[in-house]
Amino acid sequence: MEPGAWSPLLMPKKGKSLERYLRMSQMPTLWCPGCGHGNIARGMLQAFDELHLNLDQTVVIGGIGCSGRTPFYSNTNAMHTTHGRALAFGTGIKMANPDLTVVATMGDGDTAAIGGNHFIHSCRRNIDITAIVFNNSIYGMTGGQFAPTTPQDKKSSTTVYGNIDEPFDIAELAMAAGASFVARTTTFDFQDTTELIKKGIQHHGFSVVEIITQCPTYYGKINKLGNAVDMLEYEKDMTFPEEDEPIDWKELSGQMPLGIFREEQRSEYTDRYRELRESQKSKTDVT
Amino acid sequence: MLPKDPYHVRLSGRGGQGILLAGILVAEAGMKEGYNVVQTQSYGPEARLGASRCEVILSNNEIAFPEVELPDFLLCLSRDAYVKHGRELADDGLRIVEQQVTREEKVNDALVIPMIEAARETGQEIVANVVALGVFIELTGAISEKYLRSAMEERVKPNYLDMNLKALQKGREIAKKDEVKGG
Amino acid sequence: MRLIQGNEACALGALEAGCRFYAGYPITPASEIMEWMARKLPALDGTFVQMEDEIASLAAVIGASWAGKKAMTATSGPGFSLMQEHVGYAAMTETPCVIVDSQRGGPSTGLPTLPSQGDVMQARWGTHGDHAVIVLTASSVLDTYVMTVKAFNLSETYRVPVVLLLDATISHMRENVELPELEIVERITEAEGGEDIFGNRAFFPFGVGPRKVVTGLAHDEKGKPETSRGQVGERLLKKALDRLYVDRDHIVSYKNYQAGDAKWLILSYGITSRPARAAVDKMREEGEKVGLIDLQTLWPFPDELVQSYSEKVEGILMPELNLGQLIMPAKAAIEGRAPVYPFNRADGKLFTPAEIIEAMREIMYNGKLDQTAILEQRRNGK
Ligand SMILES: Cc1ncc(C[n+]2csc(CCOP(=O)(O)OP(=O)(O)O)c2C)c(N)n1
Ligand code: SF4
Repeated sequence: MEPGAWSPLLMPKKGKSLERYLRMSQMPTLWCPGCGHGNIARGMLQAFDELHLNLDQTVVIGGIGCSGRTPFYSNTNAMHTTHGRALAFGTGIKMANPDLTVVATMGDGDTAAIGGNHFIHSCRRNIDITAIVFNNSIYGMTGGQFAPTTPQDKKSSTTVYGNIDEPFDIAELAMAAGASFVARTTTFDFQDTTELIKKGIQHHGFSVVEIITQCPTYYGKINKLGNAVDMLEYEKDMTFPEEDEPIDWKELSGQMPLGIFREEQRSEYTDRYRELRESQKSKTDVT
Repeated sequence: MLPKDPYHVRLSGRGGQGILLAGILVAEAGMKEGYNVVQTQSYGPEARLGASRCEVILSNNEIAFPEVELPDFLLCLSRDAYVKHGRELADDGLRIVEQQVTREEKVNDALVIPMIEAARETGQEIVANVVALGVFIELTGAISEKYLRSAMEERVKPNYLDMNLKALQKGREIAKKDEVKGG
Repeated sequence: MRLIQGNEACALGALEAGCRFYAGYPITPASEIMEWMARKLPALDGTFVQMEDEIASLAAVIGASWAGKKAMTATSGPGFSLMQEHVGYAAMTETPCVIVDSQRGGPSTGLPTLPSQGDVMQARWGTHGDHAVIVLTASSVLDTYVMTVKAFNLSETYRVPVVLLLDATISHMRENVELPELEIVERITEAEGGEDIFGNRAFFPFGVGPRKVVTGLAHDEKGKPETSRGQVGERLLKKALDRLYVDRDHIVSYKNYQAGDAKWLILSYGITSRPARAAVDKMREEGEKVGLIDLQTLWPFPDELVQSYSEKVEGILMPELNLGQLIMPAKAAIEGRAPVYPFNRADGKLFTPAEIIEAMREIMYNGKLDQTAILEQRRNGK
């Protein structure tokens, strides 16, 4: 499959045109046909539409990777940063101007490997940024090396004999680090993708929306999971909706729960700083 | 008046004895007096544990080199400081050593003054640094008491100011006593 | 008149220049800059963030700059090494920002509390690829204030990252200073050169003017990535470098200390210019025609200036607290017009005036310099 084709999911034949939300000068996308990143991008833009976001006041930031390209295609302000560091840039943007809506699009490598530190600290600070994690279980951009999310025994170009690493569960990691909104779905569940991104943006605090997505070009091919449609089926098989009873994260045996795992109101970072600022205005000698 | 221009001051003691504050007070007062001043310090673990050191240069001219090579005035307020910094002194320099140091070290060519004991008499041992400053201005005349007091008013916490001003007086008094001279 | 510390002067200069965002990670000997900013920024409607590391710190600074704030970070060698990724990003995205590096002995954790000038080359070439960057330094507390303001002014004028190199001694030293009134350059947010996002003097933050695309990929004036036609990125890169070249006179600052009629010259910068000045004073008293050029702009290297002096003197001594860094561009500029003698140490000590005098006399009267012999004397306590 050749990268560079139009992503049909961004420009569907049927359904509402999202052209207003697309930066047409950047089309076509570099995503391979069948890549799930287009589904997620479309879900994000649809969420922008449904929330009536002011595009001039919105900044979509991305790391480096196939997923990190999303900002280019979004007709908002766009910042394509460095590998793993989108959230560090985002922290500066949001702290300097809290009126901006900041949405980060990051790969699983971006999030949990090179940017793991920035990720956990953003969770901890509870800064009002929505991090959309495009989890395809592999490094797409660099040609299919394993990621910290690749399940054990799975193959990649650097685990040709099977992966011996223990993977991270990104949602679980986010919760442990203190994110105040954590949810997960798959590209198979498109409606949920839009809904959860909407909820994430509306949530006042750090939101992690993890979306399990397909990379037919590498992950699918190396692990013989078939084409994009087969992979969507595979996503369905590998996941289950969260029931009402609490999940025992230790007992998951390879299957991943989906749903909103956490949604709590906690004091937000830029708010806390604003309060501190107000409290110091009359007190500090600024000379 | 400066006994010499530029005038090089080295204050040394144990971490916690307020050597840095004493140096800053000398620099600040020197500035008020109209001199150019440079203050430097040893930094890091050295400053926290063992011997701590702070240097001030006072001059009517611009000060080019900011470090003190051979001090004209040297204070050693602790044994470690004496062992580490007690040797270097300019030819006609003045070396002031805390009396307690003589319990463990042989001290030559120095004025030995019981600054810690004097501090205790004023209130607390921690003002020994300011007692030393009293000794400094009394013996050198490098800066006037007026400016040192005004520097203290700015840099010392209000609750401690009184005790510190007393310590300054005490330092001047004990420095005047004939018996300390040449001790 | 005030008694202030170098790091405090740096923070005061930054605030005076309009810096309203600081992100950083603590490290000796730069931490006081951060502590000062943490204390003062809130009441000035500014923002302070302590980040998880220096990579994140510079990222946040760049983000804040694009969100409309004049922004800075400060660090020392180990942190500066981590920042290199984003020095490149700032250069590629023409983002105004100021990075202060208070140098300590290196490499690695090195000599955490002792002065050094070992990051001179890293400040220019630390990140990969060709890029535009300005590097300044200072030799006194007053100059630290002045050069910090200048760093912001140049950064805003040319949309480049500006590095201010301090060192452990300057950072922690206190001097009496009268802070001067300085001109402050405000960010240009009017569409001077049209609405181009790059290659334009004007800088429109997010939320102002057209929507922006900012990327570290090679891109065109609108921010569109151009990764197959390399000439597009090269065009912008050259433009950024040319701007600095054309305006070199404005960017270069230095102090001439008795160099006008000097037959022998000391070329130094930063803290090393202090013993150098003491040496010049002493030697002038003895009738020796020695002078000093104290460089405050290190990059772009002031080659015309150095060249013109090299034509007038019989020899040049270059003392540096490293094992020979700025001497490389100096020699390239001098092109053999006068002999240049390196004088180097990386032991965490300053040169003393006496050492510089001795070195100078050796080259004046013997036409050669045995550095080790001179430096070993003091080490051996002679
Ligand atoms: C510092 C650095 N190291 C390595 C790379 C090379 N690199 C680019 S993208 C990438 C991984 C991409 O994987 P992921 O983040 O999961 O995103 P995906 O491409 O799968 O969407 C790597 C290793 C880089 N750009 N920067
Ligand atoms: S993630 Fe995989 S399928 Fe998607 S664009 Fe990258 S390589 Fe292609």
